[in-house]
Amino acid sequence: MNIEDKLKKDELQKIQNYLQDSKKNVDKLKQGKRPKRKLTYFIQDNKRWVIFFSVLLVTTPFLAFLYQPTQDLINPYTDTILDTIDTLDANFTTESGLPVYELVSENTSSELIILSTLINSMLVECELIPKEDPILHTISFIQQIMENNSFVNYNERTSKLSAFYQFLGIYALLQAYYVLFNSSYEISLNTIDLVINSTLNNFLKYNIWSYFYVVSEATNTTYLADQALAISVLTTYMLLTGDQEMLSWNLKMVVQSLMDRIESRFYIPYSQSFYHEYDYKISISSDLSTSKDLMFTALSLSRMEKYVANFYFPVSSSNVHQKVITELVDSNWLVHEINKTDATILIENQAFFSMVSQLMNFNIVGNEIRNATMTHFYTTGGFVADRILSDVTPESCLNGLLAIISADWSSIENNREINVEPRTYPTTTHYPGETSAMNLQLTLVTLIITGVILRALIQFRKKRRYGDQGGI
Amino acid sequence: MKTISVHSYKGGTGKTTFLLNLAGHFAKHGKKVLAIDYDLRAPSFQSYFKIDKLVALSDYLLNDKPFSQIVFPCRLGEEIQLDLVFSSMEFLKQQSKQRDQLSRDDSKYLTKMFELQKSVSKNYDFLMIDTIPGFFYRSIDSMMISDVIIVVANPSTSNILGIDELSTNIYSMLKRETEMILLINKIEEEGLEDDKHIFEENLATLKKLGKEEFNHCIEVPYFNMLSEKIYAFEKEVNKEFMEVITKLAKLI
Repeated sequence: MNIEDKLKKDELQKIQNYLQDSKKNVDKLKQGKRPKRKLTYFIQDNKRWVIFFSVLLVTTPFLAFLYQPTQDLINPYTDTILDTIDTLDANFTTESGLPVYELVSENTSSELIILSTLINSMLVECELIPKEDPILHTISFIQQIMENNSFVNYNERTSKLSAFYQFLGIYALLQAYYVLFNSSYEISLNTIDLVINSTLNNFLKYNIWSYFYVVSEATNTTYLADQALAISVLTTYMLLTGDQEMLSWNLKMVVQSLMDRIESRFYIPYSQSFYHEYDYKISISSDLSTSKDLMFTALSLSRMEKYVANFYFPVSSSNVHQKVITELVDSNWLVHEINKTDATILIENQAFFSMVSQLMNFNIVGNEIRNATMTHFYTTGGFVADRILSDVTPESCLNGLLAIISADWSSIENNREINVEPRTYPTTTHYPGETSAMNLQLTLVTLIITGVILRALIQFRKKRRYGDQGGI
Repeated sequence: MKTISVHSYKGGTGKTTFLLNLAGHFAKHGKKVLAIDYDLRAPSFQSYFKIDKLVALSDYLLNDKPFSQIVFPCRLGEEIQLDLVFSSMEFLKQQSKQRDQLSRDDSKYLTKMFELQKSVSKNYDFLMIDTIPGFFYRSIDSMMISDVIIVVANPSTSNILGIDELSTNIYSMLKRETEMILLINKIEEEGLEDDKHIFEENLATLKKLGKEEFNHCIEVPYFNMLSEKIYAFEKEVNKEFMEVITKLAKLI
């Protein structure tokens, strides 16, 4: 076959292909559908737009890289953090490393020690303070407020802490576990298991139907915040360790039962709101939820959504988080106790809402709360507890630090959790690893599109130069 | 509405003459007819009709000009109306970039023609399309949307080879769903009159091809004075020629 014959054959083949395609295209048109069109021609006809979008695609990763918010990598309040740590060291920590309210009397409390352990562990995890003595010693003080695997009053060793602080203590223990690992203060996972076991034995109550409540000792009243914190802490334990069985407990069953109780005793379906407390002896729910109730309910729902496949609750974690913003957060991003107009604005609420928002990946909200805390609660040398009573206390300083470092710490915590089912977790570009992956994807897409355009343009030029047998 | 495409292997076979006369015949009998000059390589409607300011089919295909702006009504009295769409010679001379666009195997133009057909289907009884002779994508487009394809051929050797090739590669794929008519126009090519033997041999081959590959085959007697006349609009009518047109109309 000579070249002329070959060319003719190729041309005839093209014609036949076009004929076949046209048959299909006519059928599509008759059905009211658009026929397939060669991408090359689409690109040639829309050259300007294609070039515009290609340039946009090419430049986007570079612009994103150039203009990425610096606070994602370096906390903008590093100086504040360091100053506050200095204040805590100088005024609220004894030479032995014990966190105290006063250096002179060395007055302290278990609640302060739990908070100190929790936030100092976070600071070490974020590498804002080095992992070495004396901070490790301060963190390890949490072990000194335990009797029979329960957290007790620092001064009166026989009285136990409230349910809320028991579970907050477990959360602090979990953080301390990672920080003190391989140090002389190491806490074994077995110790944590024993504390959880003891806490569940002491604070979990059954009713006749075998459902559970978290109840503090010597009371008939259960609080929403206690249930929610217990669920958050136990689910976090399961997410971190991957174990749902612990000693004699099936933790997954416990958290699901607690969640059922929240739905039946605390949730008000018609208004999609929550009660604050429930008296299980007289079966009466009362008072509307406080900020802590709602914040920890949002967190508990988000942890459950992450841990339990096909988890159902009448409202989602993001709905409850939004409820906090709508009902409790004012235009200055200050978190009120009951409603936007009440006068109580505590740094503790700022701290918890910053932490909850960042853990739920609502980074923008978390950052706004952080900035508001910085603007409204920070004075030279430390944070104040309340906007009205401007006392700098060790707790207010620790809460201020929690509000400010949550953005850095939450990414470490979320990445550490296993068994992640990211259904309710929108990915953000918060983590450098994710940003790189996205940039890589964008670059690849850009390269492919550029290649297609170049090929189309080359073919187009060739056609113009050498003509086309099918030309009119 | 019935869509009819008129195709050929080569130019100069009388394709446009038959199309416009058939269109005129339908129009004279009260049918509403739209005739489109889709022979983008050698537009010839302008040889039959004088027009001052031309908005051509290419404006619709390339520049999305509304269809209503490219239709030119041609009226003879109150009864005869033939609507026409022209192609432009000027466009062919000047717009090489657009010509390239129209020459490619792009389904966009099939879509445009389909849309055109759909939009006029309620207003006309017949849509008649004059195509580019030979193997061209745009000819395929118009044949694809047609109910009837009339192929006009004369008995020259090259034409016979070409029709044979078109039958094998294109018509064979269309004839299941489309009525195919071969119109053998006994127009003589230069040189052929010297060799009547070859002429008769070619005619026989063409008839055989018409019988085997087409649904109908009509033999047209040799006419000397056909060009650029639409007899439906003329006072003096060539009876023999009109018999062929009537026969063709009956088939359709």
